[in-house]
Amino acid sequence: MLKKAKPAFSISVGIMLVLVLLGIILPEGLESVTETIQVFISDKFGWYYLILVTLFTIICLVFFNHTIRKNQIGRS
Amino acid sequence: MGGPDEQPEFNRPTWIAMLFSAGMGIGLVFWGAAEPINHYAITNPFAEETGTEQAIRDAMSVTFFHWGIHAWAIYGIVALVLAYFNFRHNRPGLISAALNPLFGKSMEGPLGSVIDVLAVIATVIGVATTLGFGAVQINGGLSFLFDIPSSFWMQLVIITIVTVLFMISAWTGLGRGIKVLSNVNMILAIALFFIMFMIGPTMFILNMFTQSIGAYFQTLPTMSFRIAPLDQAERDWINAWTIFYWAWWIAWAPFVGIFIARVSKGRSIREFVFTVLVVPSLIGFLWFSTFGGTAISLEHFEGVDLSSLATEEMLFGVFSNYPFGMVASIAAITLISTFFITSADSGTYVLGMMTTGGSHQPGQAIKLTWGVLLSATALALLYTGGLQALQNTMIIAALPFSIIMLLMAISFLKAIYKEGRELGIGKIPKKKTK
Repeated sequence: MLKKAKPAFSISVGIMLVLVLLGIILPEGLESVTETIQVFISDKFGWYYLILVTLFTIICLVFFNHTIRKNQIGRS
Repeated sequence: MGGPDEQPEFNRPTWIAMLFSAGMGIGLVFWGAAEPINHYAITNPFAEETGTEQAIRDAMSVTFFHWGIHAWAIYGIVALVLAYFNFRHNRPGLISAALNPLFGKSMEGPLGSVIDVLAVIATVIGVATTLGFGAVQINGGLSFLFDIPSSFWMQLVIITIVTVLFMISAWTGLGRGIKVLSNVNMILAIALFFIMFMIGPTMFILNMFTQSIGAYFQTLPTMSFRIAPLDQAERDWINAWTIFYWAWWIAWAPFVGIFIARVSKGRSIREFVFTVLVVPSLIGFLWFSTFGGTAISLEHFEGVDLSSLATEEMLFGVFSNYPFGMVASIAAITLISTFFITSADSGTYVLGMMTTGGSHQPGQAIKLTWGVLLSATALALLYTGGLQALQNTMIIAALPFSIIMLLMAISFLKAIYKEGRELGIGKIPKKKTK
């Protein structure tokens, strides 16, 4: 069953092509823009990454011992 | 996961091999010796003095932290949510479909497409970053061994060759190509591990492994929330390493998550969490103790200068101090190349799936498009600013997807509580305090 491409395909291919072309045409420009945004994200959202990732870890560990295991997914 | 009485499609060793081949292979080879050496001798994680005995302990426990359960929990949660909605509720294996319980029908319209596009972009950049690391390290190895120049043009040649190889692998489909190659990877990786373990300082490795596991557990809560608001030097280190790793794992999460969900059909949640969180973390710890421990022991006790090598050459620098070093180096280059192929191969498959409405057999033309774009992205970014450009872009692409991940987790909790109520398993499952 081969399905056809969805809108997500053309949109994301388009965005990636733009990025690749920018990298080839304006390497320095792209480099300095990404550097600036990266520094901004690391500085302002560092705390958010730490909390989020630890939260995911806790959720995963909780599920290891969750009562839903008695109803093992796929074997009800 | 999957329908009632679903049998696992792949046996357990193959399953674990596939987890590594998709998720961390290149990273493990790249950073195995390089990360501990960086923390020990170049920049101390706590902005303290480098080269001390305390620096050895810090280097190992911090490396464990970056490659431990947090990393696998990021993959695990995406995989768990997707597998649950895909196999249990027969929804398409799409990120947007997993948000259905929260946003309802609107996930099948434009909003759903936006979410899938964000996930696709994070995936392309995440996989491209890893391919970039792989290409740079293959180049580093060849340059260390044979004096081949280390340059963008060499990396262009390497990426082109490997792209042709992984396209062939992708053409043969998930069932055969990746399965065979993952097993080849695993055999090579295990062989490399044992060579290093035997010819390296075996007792030191085992002692560091044991000691660092203790330090890992002891410092887990502090490390998990360490953002150092009062110490700029320490904060800069955290931005450069911890935040970078968290962003890397998040950017990889849609890819590895979808892949893990796909190959985990027929396993229980409990087994899933154990095999996806605990087993890979322990394997990673052993790996880093062996390669990092050997590297540190060479630099600290034998006075070998590894820390002045380029990051991608440190592993080969370690090998060059031992008999069979040449064999081990060539094995390592081969291993990175095969990991490159499996990562890129499963990357094209997953991207194909994400952009065809969750089809488990995406068309060949779509897979080829993604294959070419993955390599082109890695190359374009290497061209603009080397590995740093890849890392920057990846941290940017990870941010929107991290919000989607949070929504996925909420959506999953909502659905599973509802199911728990409908099936009447006692009360609403109580969270166990751990």
